[in-house]
Amino acid sequence: MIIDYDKYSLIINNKKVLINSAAFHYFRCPGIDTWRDRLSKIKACGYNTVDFYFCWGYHSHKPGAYDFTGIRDIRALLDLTVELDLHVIARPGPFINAELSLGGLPTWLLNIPGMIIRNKKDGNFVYSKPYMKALREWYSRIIPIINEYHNIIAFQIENEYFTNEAEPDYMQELYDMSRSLGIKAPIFHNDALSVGLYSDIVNIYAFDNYPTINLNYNWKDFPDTFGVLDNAESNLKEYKDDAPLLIAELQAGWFDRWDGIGYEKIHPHFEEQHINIVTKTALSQGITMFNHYMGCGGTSWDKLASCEVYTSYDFAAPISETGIPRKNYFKAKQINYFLNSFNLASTELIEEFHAEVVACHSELDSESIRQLESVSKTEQILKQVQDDNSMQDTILENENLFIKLRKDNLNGCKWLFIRNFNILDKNLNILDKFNIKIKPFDMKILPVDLNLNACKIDFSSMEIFARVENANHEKVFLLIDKDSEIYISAPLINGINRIKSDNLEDLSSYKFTKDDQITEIIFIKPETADKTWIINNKILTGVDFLTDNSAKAAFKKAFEKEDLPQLTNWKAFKCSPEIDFNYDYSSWDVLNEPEKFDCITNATYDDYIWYKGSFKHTPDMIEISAKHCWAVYLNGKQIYQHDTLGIDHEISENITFEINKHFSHPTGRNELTILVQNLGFDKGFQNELVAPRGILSLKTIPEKEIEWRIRGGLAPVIEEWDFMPEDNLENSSENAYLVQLSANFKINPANKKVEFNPLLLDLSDAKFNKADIYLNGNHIGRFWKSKGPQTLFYMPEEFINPVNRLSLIIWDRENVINFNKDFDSGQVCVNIKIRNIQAFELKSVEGLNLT
Amino acid sequence: MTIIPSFLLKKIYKKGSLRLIEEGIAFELKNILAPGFITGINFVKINDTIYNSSFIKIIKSGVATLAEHVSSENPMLVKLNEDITCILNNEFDSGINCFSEPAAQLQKGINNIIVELTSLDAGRVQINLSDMV
Repeated sequence: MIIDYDKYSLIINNKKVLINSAAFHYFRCPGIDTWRDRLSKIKACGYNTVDFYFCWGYHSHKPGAYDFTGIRDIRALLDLTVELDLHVIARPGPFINAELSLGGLPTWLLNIPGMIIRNKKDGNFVYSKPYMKALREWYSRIIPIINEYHNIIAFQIENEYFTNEAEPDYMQELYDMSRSLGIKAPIFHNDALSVGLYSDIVNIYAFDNYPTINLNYNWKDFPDTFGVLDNAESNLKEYKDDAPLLIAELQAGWFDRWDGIGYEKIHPHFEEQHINIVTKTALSQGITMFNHYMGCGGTSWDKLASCEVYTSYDFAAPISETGIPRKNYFKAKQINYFLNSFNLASTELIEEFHAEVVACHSELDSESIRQLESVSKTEQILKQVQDDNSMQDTILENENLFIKLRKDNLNGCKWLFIRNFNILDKNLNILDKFNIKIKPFDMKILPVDLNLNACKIDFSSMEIFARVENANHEKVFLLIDKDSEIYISAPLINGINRIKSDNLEDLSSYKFTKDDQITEIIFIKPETADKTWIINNKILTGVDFLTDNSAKAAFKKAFEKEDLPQLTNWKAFKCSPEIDFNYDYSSWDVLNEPEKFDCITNATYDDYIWYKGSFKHTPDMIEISAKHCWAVYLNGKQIYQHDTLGIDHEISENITFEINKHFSHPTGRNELTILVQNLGFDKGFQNELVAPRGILSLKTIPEKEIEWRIRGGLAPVIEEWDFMPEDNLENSSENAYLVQLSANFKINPANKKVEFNPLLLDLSDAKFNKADIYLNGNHIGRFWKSKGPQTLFYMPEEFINPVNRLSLIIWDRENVINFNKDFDSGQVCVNIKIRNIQAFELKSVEGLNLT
Repeated sequence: MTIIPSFLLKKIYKKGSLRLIEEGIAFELKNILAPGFITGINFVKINDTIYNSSFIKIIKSGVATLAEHVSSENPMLVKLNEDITCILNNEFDSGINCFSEPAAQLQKGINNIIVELTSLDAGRVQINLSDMV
């Protein structure tokens, strides 16, 4: 594949191509079957490109060791993109952010002497040879794999990088390193600030665009929400005038966090209107490369998550975490189908044209009338300004209308981009002759003077959904919208040249002929369009979604209880023998440095870290700072617990508490045990990357010399208790144990071929506050009821077998005694269930009617 | 730490805009970054004098607002490329004098300016500048 570019677009094999891409985190969607499903849905949605971050830390757990096998087999991933005929944007970091622990960097970097990660300290550029050596190791492993594939159309170095003075050295070295390792594709960096950073080093200037990140506000209340996009062509194009602009991350959703509002409340911000506006506004700026971030949600399983986010990384993305397309998917599909029908890879802004707001005629409630009165005043002002011959975009902007007209160099037509950021419909007269009514918060791309094979669309206020061409028969689908119309030039059939949408039936059509060509204009309702798919230039209707490289069609199933597996054979194990007095911890490590307890100094990167020490006579108090959740046990009894969750540089809590001597041992020999759970490192975007976990400081008052020992991990995980005999442990002690709760369930593997039925563990009514969830030994979630809001946990298909063991390791520090009672009475397990969102029947597309 | 690098923060300030006017000391800012919400204008320091939010007036799109009225409950939307005029004085509407010193003054030559504000998107932002009079 030969990749070039000009000022308009990428040129692939001598053809100008508009890149419509969707971001996919393979590491958050483990398993080749899941990759195949999600990438097939991305392809079926009309995207021509998929964007991959390659996560260094996911592939490398120690220096020099790399794993590209099994669920980490990126060759299998890239093979799928070839099979699906998708281009690839490759983004191997080294830093990738993505709300990953340490921004996706491997933890072993933290223990290399002299290492300054990303050559950046306190915001300043500090060149670090050890860092450059380590990242060269990563690049020299990942780039040769990338180089095996010819569908890589762009390659990113670093991500969202900046220093206080924007020194170019690091970026230049990454660029040179990539080229020296054989990267042929255009290279870009993703500028999080949209200010042209490093644009003189890279080939293509790329930037993030997230107009809506403060979800306490409704984006519809602020007409300037899309301000950066609205001005992208005039403000950003100059940074790299000879190349197309790339929106490396164009907002298609947003993530939730601990203590967040929950995805149920995030989804409404990002339904069809938001993705419609961001994408069409980008196109109105002549942008020919965009990447919807995320295209597909995922799961921050195992230790992937940064401390900010909980397990679900659904992102309110077009394809949900469970793999089910949602409203923004179908809106993206409409836009993508249009873009695949008419290549907008080369367009020019037309500065001067006529657009006029005309009177509104709406049925209004009292609030709308009040709003309308204020709008009408503005219109009067508008009219005056118009009389002064100064009517242009600025004035329409005052009306919260955004209008651009672009000349299409490839299709020989013009496209009108129009957005209404008002709570009322707006009526406009465009180009002196065409009327448009545009709904509140809608945006349209409308054809002007578009020549089709056998007719010409002079103008249409109905948008084009898709065009399909077979032999001499061209079918053009237009989306039926209320109060819209299409003007068609002769030659005519039935003497019609103006068709109003109000008279149109779903799938009604008009045929035009010219010479031996037929153009059939088919009017389609949006809800019908959602279920209409184009496969190899054929049309398939009535299908909810496609998967398996469009070989399988999915149809919603009615809910049947038997679709859901039952959890049976509940067992409980007290699973923290480490807490016990006299537990043999002699094999644990002594602290690497006295008084230095943290995970980095001790190179202990488990999410749970144990500390244990013995002493004579009990101190009066303990002063401690630890991240993030912790409890202190004296001789096996919990004496204190606390959580410290927040931004690292803002939260540094030293807790001092008195020791309850009731639990002191009569012999005078006592043991302190401290368990600290960390929820990951910071992602390193806004805050410093290197922030230790575990115990940050600890002293007893009065100070006692204690030989502390340290060990990472929980016993059931280290010792694979999932495969131990299923005997309940005796409740012989009142120690505040962690409890492992396990159950079995079965899945009929034959169902997988005929249905799509993602399963979730429902802990909405759980009787405990905090637990880690394991599916057949794989850590699939962190449940924390009081920090929430996640109570439903996706069970990744990759980890589901015909016979399964589900385990919860419960750490109910606030409620130790009641928890034991609840468990004894069987109350703990009764409300834990497996559920689904929706089951779909899968049928072979071959057996369906394609036209 | 703020996410915005210092070289960019300096670009927000319009060099040469520091001046004395009838109402006090004035200077100009321009939002070259992105539309955003300011949730607090914490203080402005000119040389050794600190003006807290009671003594800072913001003029944006022709509308004047006392900085103390800007908060997370009452955020100020600043559009892309929008200009802001900051006016500092030790006597605004309240008539309360915040200093024992005389009215706001600038020194001839280089004046050091620190502006600290809080933004919903970027957190606490401190802009360190200097300008000639």
